Amino acid sequence: MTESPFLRPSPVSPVPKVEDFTEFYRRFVPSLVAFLMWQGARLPEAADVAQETMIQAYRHWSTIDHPQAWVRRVASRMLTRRMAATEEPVDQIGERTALLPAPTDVTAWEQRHDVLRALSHLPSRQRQVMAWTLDGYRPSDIAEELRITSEAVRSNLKKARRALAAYLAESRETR
Amino acid sequence: MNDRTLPSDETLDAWVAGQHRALVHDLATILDLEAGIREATIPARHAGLAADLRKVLDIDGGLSEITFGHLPAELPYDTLLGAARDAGAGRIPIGLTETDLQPAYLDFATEPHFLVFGDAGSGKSGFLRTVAHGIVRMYEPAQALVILVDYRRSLLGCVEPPYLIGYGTSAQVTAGLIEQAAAVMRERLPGPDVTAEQLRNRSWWRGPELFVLVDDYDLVAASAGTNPLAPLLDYLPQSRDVGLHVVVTRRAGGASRVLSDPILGRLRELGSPGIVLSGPREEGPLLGDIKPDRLPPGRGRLVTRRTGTKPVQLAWIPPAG
Repeated sequence: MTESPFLRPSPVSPVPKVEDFTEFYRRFVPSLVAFLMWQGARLPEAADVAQETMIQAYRHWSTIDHPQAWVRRVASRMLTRRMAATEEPVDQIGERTALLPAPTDVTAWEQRHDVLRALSHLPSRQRQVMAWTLDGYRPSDIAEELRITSEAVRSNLKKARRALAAYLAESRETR
Repeated sequence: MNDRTLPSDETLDAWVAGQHRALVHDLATILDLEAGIREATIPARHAGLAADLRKVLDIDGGLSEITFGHLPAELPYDTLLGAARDAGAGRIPIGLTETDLQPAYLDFATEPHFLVFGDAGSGKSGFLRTVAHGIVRMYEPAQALVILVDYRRSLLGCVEPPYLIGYGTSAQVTAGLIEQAAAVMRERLPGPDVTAEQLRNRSWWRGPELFVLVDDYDLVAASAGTNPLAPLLDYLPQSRDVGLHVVVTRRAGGASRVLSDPILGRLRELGSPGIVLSGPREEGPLLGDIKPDRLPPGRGRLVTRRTGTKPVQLAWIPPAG
């Protein structure tokens, strides 16, 4: 096989390190999709937003210092925009993304997760706050990300926890 | 509300954490991460090109090894020439377009001038070396002459006499060269006795096309007061009549402020094609509605009136010496 000149490494190239991105992608995508689902995205939509975000991350890879924080922020904003743009709840499954290639019974899959059922009645602000908290953000950080006050973050968090606790208590009773 | 006892904070936290783990775990099994990586690293619109890419790149490796992140690293000029064998007259290959991996050309016959914006290290001088090589390859010395305006001397040796008739490395030398060039252009202007037929086939004079390649225009135009290129201004719109071609590169930083500069302004008015290489996005639109972006060296967007905007990777010729 002849050596292709295309693949000759360039000594000074700031080209993104593909291996680093690949590693980051494999490790982080499931958490990112979960993060979006906690905020109210259905599975196909969460996969689509995660994939779009990751494509952007790859394009800007050489300039991103904190990839996890970067993709969380970009993905949440993308999701917020999409939710605002959709008048009715998104229940149609859009174009399949590379991430979610096989036809899946989304509803059945989602039903297996108690927490998604528990969350489904919560206002989106409470879900957002829970999602960021789960990923280790403090109320002050969340306030900054969502552009609301820390007090609002704390009170939403409290309400969300109370609702989840009630759900949990109920589900234990009925068992 | 009934008085059912709520779980303790610890119980709730443990339950939530467990649910979250289970969700992430399940997602990891249901999502096709490898396909996702491929799509992210090879832009989705290229998926159909994967097989061709393998051939072009001559590799057997996995698809995720082939990424457009690799292509920009270096596109040696010789490789481009291989791809551009059947260029056709007057067409100068400059790089590959990202959309179809076919050579991108400058066609001085239909679009006489060219503009390049990009920051240091983005590939401006390399572009001019590629153009100079292209001129030497595509034209006989009797058909084309070159004047280089290059205060940083990054184009040394890329074109030699008899093609090279002047090398402006300072304002003074450049002013002299351009004066002479303008004098020749003046003689080539069609006089009152030129017939319509002659105008059509440009047969009232014979001689070489003149290519003025200007690197770092910001340095050239910065020299106090007079712009050494000013004498060419009136001939820019008549370039087809007089056989004049001006190729200008400029730093992207600060470019938006000087777009009304006489030379740049005229070239833009004439709808000249160009390339926007790496630069600060804050500059705003530089060619058409294209703003610069942070890009690897040699990567840019080719903007022409005929074909719109295409991402390209420029060929690379290292500086001499």
